[in-house]
Amino acid sequence: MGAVLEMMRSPGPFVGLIVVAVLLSACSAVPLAKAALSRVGGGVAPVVAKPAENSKKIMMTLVSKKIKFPIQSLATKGDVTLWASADGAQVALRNGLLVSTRGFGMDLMSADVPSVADLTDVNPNHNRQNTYLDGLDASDRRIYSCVVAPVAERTGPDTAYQVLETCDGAGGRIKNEYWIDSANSVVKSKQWVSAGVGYAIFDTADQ
Amino acid sequence: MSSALTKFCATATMVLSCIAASAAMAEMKPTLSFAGVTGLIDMPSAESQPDGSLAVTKSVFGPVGRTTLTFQITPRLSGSFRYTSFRNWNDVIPSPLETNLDRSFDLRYQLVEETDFLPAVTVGIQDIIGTGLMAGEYIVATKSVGKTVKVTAGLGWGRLGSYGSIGAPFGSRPVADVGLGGRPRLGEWFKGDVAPFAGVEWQVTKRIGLKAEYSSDDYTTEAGVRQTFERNSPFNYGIEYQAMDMLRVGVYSLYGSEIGFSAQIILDPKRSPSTGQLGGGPLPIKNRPGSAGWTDDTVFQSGTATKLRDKLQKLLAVDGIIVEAFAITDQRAQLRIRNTRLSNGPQALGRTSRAMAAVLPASVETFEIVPVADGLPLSKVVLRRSDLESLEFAPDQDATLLARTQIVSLPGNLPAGSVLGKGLYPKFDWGLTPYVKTALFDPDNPIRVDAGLRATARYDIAPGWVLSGSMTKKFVGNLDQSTRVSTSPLQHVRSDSNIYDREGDPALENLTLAYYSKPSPDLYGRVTVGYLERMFGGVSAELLWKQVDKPYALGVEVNYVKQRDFNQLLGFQDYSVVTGHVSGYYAFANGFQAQLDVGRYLAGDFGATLSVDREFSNGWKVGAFATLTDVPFDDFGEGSFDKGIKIEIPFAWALGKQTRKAYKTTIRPIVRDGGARVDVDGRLYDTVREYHANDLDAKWGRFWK
Repeated sequence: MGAVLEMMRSPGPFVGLIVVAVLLSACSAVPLAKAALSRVGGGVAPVVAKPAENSKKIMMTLVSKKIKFPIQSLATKGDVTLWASADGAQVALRNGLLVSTRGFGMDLMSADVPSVADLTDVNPNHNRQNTYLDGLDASDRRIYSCVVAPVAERTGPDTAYQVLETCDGAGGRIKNEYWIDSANSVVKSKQWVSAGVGYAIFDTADQ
Repeated sequence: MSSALTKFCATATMVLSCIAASAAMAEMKPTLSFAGVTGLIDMPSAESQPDGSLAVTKSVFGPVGRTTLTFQITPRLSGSFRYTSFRNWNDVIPSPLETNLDRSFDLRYQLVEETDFLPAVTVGIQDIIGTGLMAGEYIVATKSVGKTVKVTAGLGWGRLGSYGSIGAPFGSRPVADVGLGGRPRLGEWFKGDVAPFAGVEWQVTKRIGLKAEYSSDDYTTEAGVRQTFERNSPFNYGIEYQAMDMLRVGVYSLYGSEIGFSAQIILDPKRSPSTGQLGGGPLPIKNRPGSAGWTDDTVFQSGTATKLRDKLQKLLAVDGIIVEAFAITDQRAQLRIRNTRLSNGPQALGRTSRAMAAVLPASVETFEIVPVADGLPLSKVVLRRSDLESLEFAPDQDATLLARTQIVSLPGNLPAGSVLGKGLYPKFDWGLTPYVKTALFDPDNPIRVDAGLRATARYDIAPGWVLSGSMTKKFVGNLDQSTRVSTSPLQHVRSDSNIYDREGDPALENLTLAYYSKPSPDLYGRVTVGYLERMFGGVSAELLWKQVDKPYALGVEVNYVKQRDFNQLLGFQDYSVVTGHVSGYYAFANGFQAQLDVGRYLAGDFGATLSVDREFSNGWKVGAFATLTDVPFDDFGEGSFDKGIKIEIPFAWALGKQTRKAYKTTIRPIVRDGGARVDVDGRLYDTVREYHANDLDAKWGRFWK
């Protein structure tokens, strides 16, 4: 190299990047993440919307993460009930069908879902639209065409009618399961949230 | 996750932290070579990284160490900046350098994407504007065979055509005139000997991959002339391990004589390591029970506005949003906010509108939200409350609301009857934080580090008036050991930085009084007086014209500055200069942002700087800039002109937590005195555009979050 090398100054580009990257990759696993968090002034914000202590409670399970926790009713608007976990993550169910989540990371932002009647109807076909938030904060709208098929018929007044909603679209295949009681209420379900969260089980009977 | 942890999550209801604790592993992905480009071991392949990815590769074998930063600029185009060190340089031939350090820059373009029948084909040019030590060109093809095997074959010129040549189809290669570097050597490309190379990659398991290749790089200078290692064979082998989603490490056998190691880190802006932003959901929007008629009199006589402001502030404080001012009439309310925590502007607007819906009387139908930064009202976002109510759980809520929302400009003054935020002015704030400062690429010692404490203080005197300063005290470090003397024939406006490092302890980094103003709805102004940065002090004035709904802007900045004493206390040196620029800004629809600055630089040179950044709506930015001025290349020195790379990674993306802070860095291959600008805080464009239509549209997906 001909010319004399002069010094370069900058705030540690490569070293910094590598440290940041490694810290981040490891951050979910090590307590170091907490230190990093407090250093950058972030942290889980206090919860702005909290359910009343004695409000209705159901259980939610994130299947792939194997996490089960209670969610409590926070508000209702028409046929939508908004549920919240103790640390503020929210789930909105329209007659038991998932229409949105908040605070789960890659959330389901909104959804155009079938009615309970569509699930028990003789005409088994409907369309569904799910809008996710992608990694760049942009809305990722996916249209699915769905078929409903009974899995188990109701055998008595206390047993549930179980149906499977199979939806195909550009986002792949989703299989949602619903348990519907004699009053046409969804008492239990296993529904797709998003690629980041996977499937969630909602159970009104499991206390 | 174990069942024990499952139970813990349930009982402690730490749902969010449990979600964060799991991450997905990926499929067979394109891996990186020793040169830090997508490839095999020492040879490139034809694949591309995911669009927008930023990769850092550290590799070493024998005497050759490389650190490379590669950015996938578009789905087909990528650029790499590399820092290479060759040890044992003076073992057999005398040289003042024990280790030869070299910087190089590559570009590669994927001509053909892989299909079921066709391989991917990529053409690449290595070391385009550096010294030519790494210079080489290639055309390479890669084809997948099944899901776990990829086969690569290519032709190389220059360095990559130096072993096993099969001829020189395009004539002989001219002898490189390296000069000061910094200029492309077009005449050399694809000239001279051409040699084939090939290799195969096999993903054995999810985490383990094997690589084997035949290399066409003869290492003529390193292995031949300078005998820094023995090149006994063209065959290289390696095994790689995907340690984490973004980290891959490998160990290799190279050239029949050396063991090599590499670490590859690939960051994809689209894939947050935290799988998105966790945190409490927003306030639900209640439907109004039917609006009772309000009159202006009832609002202001009873002091209701003040009470409402306090209620709003209490709700918004949870998200780090500060009420700057509040005004209300019977049907319309205007809330001016300062967003201190949320990284996404629309989310701050969403949270604010939900608080307004929760608190304001039923008669108020129109919400006006005015984001404010440094006392400047940036835009007025006008929403209908009934839209918020009806769209809360609606499909297409984001697009529908955006279509019904107005984003308009507004003058600088407050509406009549405004109540100011509580305790905002005057307000004193201070902080004490550790700092680390590094100096890289000094041939005497490639990494120097200082660590110490930084004290900062900020006094908000009145809206738009800010007095602020920062001071550092070093505790440990070796930045003061650099004794290199700048040989630049220009005024040493930047090249004496090691003297500033040595003598500035303690150092007053900056101490300024700034005034921000808005003379008209589309004009923004800034005047900053004081110690602007560690090397210069003086006066800086800026005026920016930016229409709220347009992707372009125009700015003017004029500075009169004097060079500061090396000890970075209150004194100045003899040198003073009037410097300034006219700046044009344009935001392209595909996320690229261009800026052209034309004017006079710190050393008195005239010229222009072009910057092009790729911006992602989550706050990631990767860009490059170059400055050409009337300083002759010979006077500028090595590198010929000023250029560099800028990277910004938001901590919110990285950690999944709410914070506006980001990791920011500027990498310059070399810092010289030509084309240098004053580093003044508070430049207007980035602050102003955050709440203008272009930026809000791009980030609107989070409004409802």
